[in-house]
Amino acid sequence: MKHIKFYFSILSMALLSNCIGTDIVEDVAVIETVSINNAIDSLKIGDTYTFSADYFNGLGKPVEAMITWSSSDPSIISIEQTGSAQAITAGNVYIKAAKGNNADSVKVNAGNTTSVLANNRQGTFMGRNNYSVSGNFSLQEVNGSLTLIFDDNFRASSGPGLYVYLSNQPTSITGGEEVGKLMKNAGAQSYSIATNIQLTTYNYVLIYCKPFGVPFGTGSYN
Amino acid sequence: MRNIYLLIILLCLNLNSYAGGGWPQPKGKGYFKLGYYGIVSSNYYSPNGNILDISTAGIHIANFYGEYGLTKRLTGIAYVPFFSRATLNEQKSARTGNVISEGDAVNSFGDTDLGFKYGIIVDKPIVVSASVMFGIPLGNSMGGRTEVLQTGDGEFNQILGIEASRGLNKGKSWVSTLIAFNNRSDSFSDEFRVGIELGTKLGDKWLANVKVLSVNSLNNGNDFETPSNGIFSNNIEYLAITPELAYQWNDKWGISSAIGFAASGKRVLVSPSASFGVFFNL
Repeated sequence: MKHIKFYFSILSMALLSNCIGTDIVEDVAVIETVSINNAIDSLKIGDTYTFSADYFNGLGKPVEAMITWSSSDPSIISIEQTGSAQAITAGNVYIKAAKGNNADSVKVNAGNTTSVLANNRQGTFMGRNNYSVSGNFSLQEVNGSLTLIFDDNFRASSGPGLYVYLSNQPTSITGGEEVGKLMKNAGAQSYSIATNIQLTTYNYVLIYCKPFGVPFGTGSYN
Repeated sequence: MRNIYLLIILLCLNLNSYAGGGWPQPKGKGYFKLGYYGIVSSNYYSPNGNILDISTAGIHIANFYGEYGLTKRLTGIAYVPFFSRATLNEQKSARTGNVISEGDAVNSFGDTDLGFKYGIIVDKPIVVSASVMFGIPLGNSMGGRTEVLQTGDGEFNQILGIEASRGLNKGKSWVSTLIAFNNRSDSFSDEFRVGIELGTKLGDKWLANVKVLSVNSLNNGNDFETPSNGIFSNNIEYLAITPELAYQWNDKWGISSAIGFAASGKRVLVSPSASFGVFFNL
């Protein structure tokens, strides 16, 4: 009997000592980036349009920053440091948003109409780490609201705690935005996106095993 | 006969095994073990066998294992994990110290195995037995705040097995082989298992054995509909090598410990498992 008591003591200590530990995760190195988030491809002569841009810091997070705006030919389209641009005469220019050495630019035609770029982006999933994720998706903007839509052909391997993320890293959620828990492993589904996110804020859609920190698949825009 | 009986005892040491090999327990005799099994790992074998870094996950199981000879040929078997604890570490950023993901844990009863072994060939140099085990899903397949921690797979399975054993070296050593089929339900793939065990006495008190077990999925389930966390996943495969050492105080009491290495695998944790226990011979 004393053997049993001794053994129970050892067993109890072993089980009770199995507390939840802590993993220290090395952050993924992220390049600071600037992204124009409301690009247009043409601006009517005489009209004004205000550009805006996001700045992502070394953690991949969008933060407030002083953006420097410039036009490749101010005599065609001029732009102020507020991002407000005016078309003066016919022609093509590049509008550039910069912070330090990081910049983004968009080609704009000064002409007879003002037109925004397409209000949706489409892409395709591919698996990561030998997990199967496939199918098409689109990010659509309607009345200023964004919706992420997976098509009927979407398929993903089953896994514990799969979530959908928007990210600027193809295999990491560092600096990304959690959209929500994956609704189902196959078939059409849609997700509403937070209002502070623009159509071009993030360039990848990740299917991510959140509890275990493993990317199952990446959706890249066409 | 004494040597044969000793062999039966020695072969009853491993958790989750067809303890006793091809030898059924003699009528009215039994083997009972109170044990611990644990594995903690921050690596995981991906579906094609590559090793991935994951959040550290673990499972710790306090269990009872028993065999009792109902007749000369028929032995009742029970494996009861009466306390199972699954854990998941919290994740902290090395750069900011911020918590990226909170940890989680769940405690519960575990999946339980009940069954029988029947001696087809007994009292021969080579003995053969057939067994059937029923996996009762008493564990939690969606535990913890994250609902991803498991102390069971949530499915009822049946394992049919054939074992053949032979004593060697005048009863001081033994070899056992296993072939088994695991019929799983609820869209889980069935499994085919083969194994071999070699063991020997080391003096009067010590015993050593090594067990090699290969678990292979038939991939006939539905991967889209089953849960998974690397321990109770669907389509798991592995080649496990488990050396074990046991010490017997006397004819009735002894202790054992083992370390299980996954030499290769798919959808399982990479790190070695550890187990120890105290056993009693009736």
